[in-house]
Amino acid sequence: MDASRPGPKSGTSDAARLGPAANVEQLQRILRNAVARVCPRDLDSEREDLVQTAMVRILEHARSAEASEIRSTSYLVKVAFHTMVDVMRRSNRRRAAGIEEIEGPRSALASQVTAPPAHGEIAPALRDCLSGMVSSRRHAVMLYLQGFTAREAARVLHLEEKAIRNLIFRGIHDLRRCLLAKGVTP
Amino acid sequence: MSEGPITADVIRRLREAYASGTPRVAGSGCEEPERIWEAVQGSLDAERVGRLLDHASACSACDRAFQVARELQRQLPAEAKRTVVPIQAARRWLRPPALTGVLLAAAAAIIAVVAIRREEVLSGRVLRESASHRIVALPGEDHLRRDQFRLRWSAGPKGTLYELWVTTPELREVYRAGKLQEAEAQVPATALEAIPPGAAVLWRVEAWFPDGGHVASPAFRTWVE
Repeated sequence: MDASRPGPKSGTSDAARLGPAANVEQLQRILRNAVARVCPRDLDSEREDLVQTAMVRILEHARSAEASEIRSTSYLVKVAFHTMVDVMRRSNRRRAAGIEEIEGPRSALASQVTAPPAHGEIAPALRDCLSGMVSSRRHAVMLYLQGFTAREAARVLHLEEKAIRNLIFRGIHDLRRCLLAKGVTP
Repeated sequence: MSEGPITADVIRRLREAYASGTPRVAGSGCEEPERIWEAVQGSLDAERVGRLLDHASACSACDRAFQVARELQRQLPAEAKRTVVPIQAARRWLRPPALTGVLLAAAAAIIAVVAIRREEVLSGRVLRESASHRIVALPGEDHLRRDQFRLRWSAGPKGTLYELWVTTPELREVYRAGKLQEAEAQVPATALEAIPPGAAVLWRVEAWFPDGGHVASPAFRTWVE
């Protein structure tokens, strides 16, 4: 065997490129927790795929990155985030396309019908109401409904926490009023 | 219709409604994920954040990306402080052989699981290809007797060396063999003692070519009889 040639069990492993052992487990834990919290139930089967795809991307990235690069957990998590967003976007496009295929284009007659929304149709009504809001309230309410705390939303929107609370409070009232006007009780 | 107070229950229902609904795909293109990360971090100017949010209201994936970024960043501060590790320091730290073994197994197991999952999506058994070589499991490897558990894969050029990893679906390593000169390996029955009849194992091969090239196979699944 040629000793100068890299071979099995020589050189640097993928894990070594990542950093200490804690990094691999830690990253997986961080990714799993994040995905579990934000993925809706209908995407249950995609959660683990999302995490594992991100982990592979991290390993590949570690292989190609410069040796001098510092691989902090925050850096690796950001790499994972990019991958996860890419996967979610692809998945979203596929799902949206699938739904269009099943439903087919809406007929002109159907689009003229304005039946009151049924109990399960709050989502489109909510979207419609959000889109009619003043942008500052809409953004604050969007973040709030996504689960951001007032402090987090304030950081994102570069506003005082008190101002954000005010926007959320008024925005939620606007939203409910709009939904009620559409015959939807949240 | 009476509005009544806004209770926690109302907020919960609104959040559920917000998260539900059919997937939305915006007509305009999505921004780089980095911008969303920066927005959640508070380092993107308000005007651009507004544009991102307006886009997210019409795009389910970007909407969810905000949430993923938030969840990841919530967990980061405490974690990140402990693990800023330059790669050279990491190599020194990893020198003890036992620890290196654990890390190798962890990395291999992660790759194995992902490869298996991809295998289920893609047709055929080839999942990852290099420019010149690829490793595939040879036909007839789906079910093997535990006393004749010989795994075979496509060979590289003469002089290629292989490393084989075999794990349970839960990623516990059951066997590993390195510096193999043949494109096949017999897994000892003793290594498979803990595998119940009918259960599957995952396996994966890495190859080092004479010209210095290196390729990793996808993970394959074989049932133990």
